[in-house]
Amino acid sequence: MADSESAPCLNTALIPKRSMTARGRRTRPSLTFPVSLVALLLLWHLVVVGFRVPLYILPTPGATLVALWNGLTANPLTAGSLLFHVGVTLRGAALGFIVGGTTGVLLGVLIGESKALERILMPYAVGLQSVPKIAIAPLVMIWFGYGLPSTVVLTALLTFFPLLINTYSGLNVVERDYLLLMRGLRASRWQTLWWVKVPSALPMIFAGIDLAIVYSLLGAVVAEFVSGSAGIGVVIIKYQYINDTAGVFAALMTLSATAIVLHSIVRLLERRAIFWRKRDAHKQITATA
Amino acid sequence: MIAIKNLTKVFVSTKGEQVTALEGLSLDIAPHTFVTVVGPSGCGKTTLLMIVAGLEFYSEGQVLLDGKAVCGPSDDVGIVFQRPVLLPWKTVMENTMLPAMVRGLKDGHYRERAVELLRQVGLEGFIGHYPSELSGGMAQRNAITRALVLDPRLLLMDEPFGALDAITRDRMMLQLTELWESTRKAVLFITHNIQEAVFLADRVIVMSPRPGRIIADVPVDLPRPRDLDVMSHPRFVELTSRIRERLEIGK
Repeated sequence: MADSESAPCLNTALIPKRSMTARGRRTRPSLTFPVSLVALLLLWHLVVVGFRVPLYILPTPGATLVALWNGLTANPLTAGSLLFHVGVTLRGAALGFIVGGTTGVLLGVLIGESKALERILMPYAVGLQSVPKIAIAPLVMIWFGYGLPSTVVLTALLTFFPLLINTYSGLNVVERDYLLLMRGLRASRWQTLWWVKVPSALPMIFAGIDLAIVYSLLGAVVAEFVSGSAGIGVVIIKYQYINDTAGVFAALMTLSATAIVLHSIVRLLERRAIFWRKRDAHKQITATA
Repeated sequence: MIAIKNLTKVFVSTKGEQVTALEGLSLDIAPHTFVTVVGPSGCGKTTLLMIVAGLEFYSEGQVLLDGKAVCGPSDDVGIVFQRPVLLPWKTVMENTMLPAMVRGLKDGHYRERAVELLRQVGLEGFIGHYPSELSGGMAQRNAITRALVLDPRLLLMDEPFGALDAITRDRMMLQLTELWESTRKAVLFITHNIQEAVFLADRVIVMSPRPGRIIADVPVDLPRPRDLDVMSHPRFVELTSRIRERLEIGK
């Protein structure tokens, strides 16, 4: 005993690695990303110029940036502006998200709370969920006509399922002890739902919202591909027709930036709503379709 | 206060077999007495507590609370579980107030009572904090105030200190006896720790392995108020070894 206490630990595997101990390094803004980004853009440029790739196959980063600049600086009230089209796409996505998401959460709560409703509705929910919603787009056009109504319906369909399923599962993963506690207090069903089950389900619901945000943009763009008169989807199709690949790239970048901003807003709201959760829990990246 | 007569609990296991958890168990708990139940794990002592709490059905026998059959949870009974089971999105104060909130009693009387209880367990400085900021011992003390806020006449405790380290456990035992001296509620306290059982109790009930039966009922005549020195008292040592012997024979 005395030996093992006095002898210094020589096992190097037990000594923490520098990257793990130097906590300060993580909080300092890292140069890795900007450097790798510049390197990537440079490589992209060299490939296009070096292999003489035609601009309609792969534009240079310069040409893409010019298209992006022109698109973003144009008068936002005109069809030449990327911001105008982002606005149109966002409007459709947001309306669809609100309709589909709200319905999803409410039905999720109902199915989660009522065994009878669960038995009646779950088979349909599971069945419908397995239908690739994008494939319904043409059908939605037939039923709801061109433009905004179709965009909203398709987006609502896409955002409905992640929120239905996540709300329903979230309400069902509540720790048994909490339910026992509430039962012991003779709490009403509503009190148990509101004070225990819904807060417990919030992480799952937010994961659903995060997924639904991406789906809502997807739904809006696909609807615009099929039948839109404005929006990022229309811009992409338009530039594709005239072989302006730099324009397509610029549109895609704008769309991605929009998705990233929306994602950050959701994360911010989530951190506010689930204030009791430890910070580390947010450090996961979820894959989205 | 509590009268249990010939209680038997049979349940069907996941494999479909009939398991007798408790068999012919009779126990009376007088008001203002601290009763601890010791037994090996799986002897059905938690089941016994859940039945008294009205959270579990029983197969045969009688469980009376003040002469009335127990058929559901009651305001006269406060429960402390193995884990604190605090709602992480509610503050320490809100967690203590939870039973009152469920009843819609948010008036000053219960607030004052909650604050007083939190003061008694040394949590007055944490009223606005959230459970994630509490240590294991503090969280369990918060849970105890929650069980006491409606001023129940019977307190049920299911191995509440089981998950705590030895030092914290000693401190909690001491604090619980002090709290008990000042309130003198009837307590049914489940544990598998013999020292804890003797230290806290007026009476120690010893249970056999499944099917759970009472194999000894040991009155603890140690003087009160007790402090940790009581554990080196010859009588304490005698009682713990007697209970240990009973548990050995029970096996």
